Amino acid sequence: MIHVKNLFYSYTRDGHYAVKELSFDIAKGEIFGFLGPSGAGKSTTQGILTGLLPLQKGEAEVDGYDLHTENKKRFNRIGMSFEQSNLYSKLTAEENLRYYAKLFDVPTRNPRALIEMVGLGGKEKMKASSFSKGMKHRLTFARSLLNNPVMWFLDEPTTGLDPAIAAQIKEIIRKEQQGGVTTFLTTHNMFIADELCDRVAFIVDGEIKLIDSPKALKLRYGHKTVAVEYREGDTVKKENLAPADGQDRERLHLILDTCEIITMHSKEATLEEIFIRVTGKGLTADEAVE
Amino acid sequence: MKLWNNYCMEMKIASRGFYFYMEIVMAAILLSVLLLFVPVHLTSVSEELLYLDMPGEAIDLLRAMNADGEGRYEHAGDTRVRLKAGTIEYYDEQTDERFTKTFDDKETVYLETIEYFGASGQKETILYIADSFDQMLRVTQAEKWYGTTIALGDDGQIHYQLMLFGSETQRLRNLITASFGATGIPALLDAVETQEVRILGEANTLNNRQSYIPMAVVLMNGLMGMMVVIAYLTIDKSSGLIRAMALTPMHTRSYLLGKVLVVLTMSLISSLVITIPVMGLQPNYLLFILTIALTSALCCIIGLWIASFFEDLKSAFGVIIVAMVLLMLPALSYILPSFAPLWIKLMPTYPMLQALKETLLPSSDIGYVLIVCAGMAVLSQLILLLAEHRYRKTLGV
Repeated sequence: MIHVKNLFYSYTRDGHYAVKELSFDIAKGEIFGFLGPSGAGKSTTQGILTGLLPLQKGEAEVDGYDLHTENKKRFNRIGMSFEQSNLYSKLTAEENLRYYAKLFDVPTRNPRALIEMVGLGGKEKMKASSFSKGMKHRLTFARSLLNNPVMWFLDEPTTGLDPAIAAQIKEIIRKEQQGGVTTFLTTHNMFIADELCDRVAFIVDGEIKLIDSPKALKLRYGHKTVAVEYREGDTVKKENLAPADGQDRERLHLILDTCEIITMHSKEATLEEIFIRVTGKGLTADEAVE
Repeated sequence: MKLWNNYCMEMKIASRGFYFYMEIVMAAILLSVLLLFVPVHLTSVSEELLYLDMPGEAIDLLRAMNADGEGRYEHAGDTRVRLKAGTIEYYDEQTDERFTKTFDDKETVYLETIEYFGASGQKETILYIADSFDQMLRVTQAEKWYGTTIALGDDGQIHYQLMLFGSETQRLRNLITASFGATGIPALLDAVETQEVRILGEANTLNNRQSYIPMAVVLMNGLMGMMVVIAYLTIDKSSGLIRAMALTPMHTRSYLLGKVLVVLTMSLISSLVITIPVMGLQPNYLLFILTIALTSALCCIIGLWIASFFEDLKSAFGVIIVAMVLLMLPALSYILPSFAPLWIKLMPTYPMLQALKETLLPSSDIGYVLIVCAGMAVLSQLILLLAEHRYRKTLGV
């Protein structure tokens, strides 16, 4: 569905690249997560693939359309949910979707059903200006599904949403995948990526560091740990120990034999921990992790 | 079809915003000003202060005069003038003799007032009669009216002495001297009497009130339309809406023209709101509407192009002001036709003003108007291409 080879992009066109030498393929029906901290090049890559940024150097093909050639028809098959809600504030929720639907050349979904689907039922006649940030985000998300896209771009789809609504949104994404929709998801939220993505790419400083499925990454880079909380004398202590490591295993045995155990849980490595291990960068801030 | 859908929705969105009504409100205000405060015929009433330094019989004769053959004099009520205490310095330009007079008292005087109505029946001059030279001097200083002493000389001739303010140019002084000189008046009167006047046909001009319509349409609707388009575009940019629009099959041109058509509709309505009550049925409305439409379209498309360089209205503001001031300059040539340098004629608003004026005249030069319209259409197309290129470059689609 998406084919990218040796993709470069420079905002200043002076050899300073925001993304460099990106190559990856995304299969039809796949949810592909593009993960990285702010400024890593996620939005630039998404901008090129959606067509908001021109293709400067390299190859890129989306849904069979070569991005070197401008073709407006391809937007009939693309949906884009922006991180920044961009709605007509003076129009109602329903008017926003009805207007947008008229811009496509293909049959579109029922705006009311979409509004209902994202949990905004009963608010169809409310002006977008009166919506909260989360409600606007959901309406923008709903708008991206209007034209039944086969290629769906999602930029931080659960940002600013409460857990219940975020779960609802994730469920919609999974459902669309079952319908054959290919999803390109950019986020710095490793939990949503872990839950939803078939494969993820780690991008840092404009370069892809690795691509694999979350499960494979955990197997390759993750270590199972045991979090143990125990009482030693009058003091309560906490430790994270990896049983696979000889020293840690001996320490765990010692604690079990000599101390009073309060709680003990086994823990898998998170995608975030793997990201930090692989890239040496944190996800919430673009800085090296000690 | 998409353009139509876009236009309808843009109209709906615009109708819920402030900018949509701005032009209509401005048009209504301007119409009120034109109808209530701008006279159909421009007349200027001059005010002169006279001191008649002559025997009582001569003054009585002058006072009794109520017509000069063409116009008529009418006595009005006395005019009250408050005089302050102070020192007045003046000098005689011919002898270079200097004088100083000090007046210690505050005083309120009542001047006999005579109004002069010209041959057309319009009031042309108001004459105030001072009782003494000193009074004339003080009133001249207090009211800034030109004072004139009319004296009957020993030779039986009338002599004039004008009290100027010192700020007059030498050319004006020369003109006054020539006009009032002993040989000047007879020569001047002779020239007026013998001047041959030929009327070449029916007057093909606009009256004072009507002459403001082209300026109102171009400056208010055209340039304000430009500003409104910039506002619409920069708002869409800063809110990210333009990015959402870019990811639809709608062409950039349709999106941009949707905005232009909304403003053009409003300009057309507001132009007619001003024009119909002032002009009645005189203009060639078909030609007028065509010219307004192209004027508004060109201004809006210039606005589109300007907006393509800015992300929000605030950052575009400086350029908007500069562009508007530059495009307003041809109004100077419209008001003062003798000032029309080439650089002003090259500005698009110059032919816009002239063409709109033509469409309003009783007898329009249709050829000229159509040439200007064709020029505006070509220029609009060229700038639209530039703007489209800019938006494609910045949005990638």
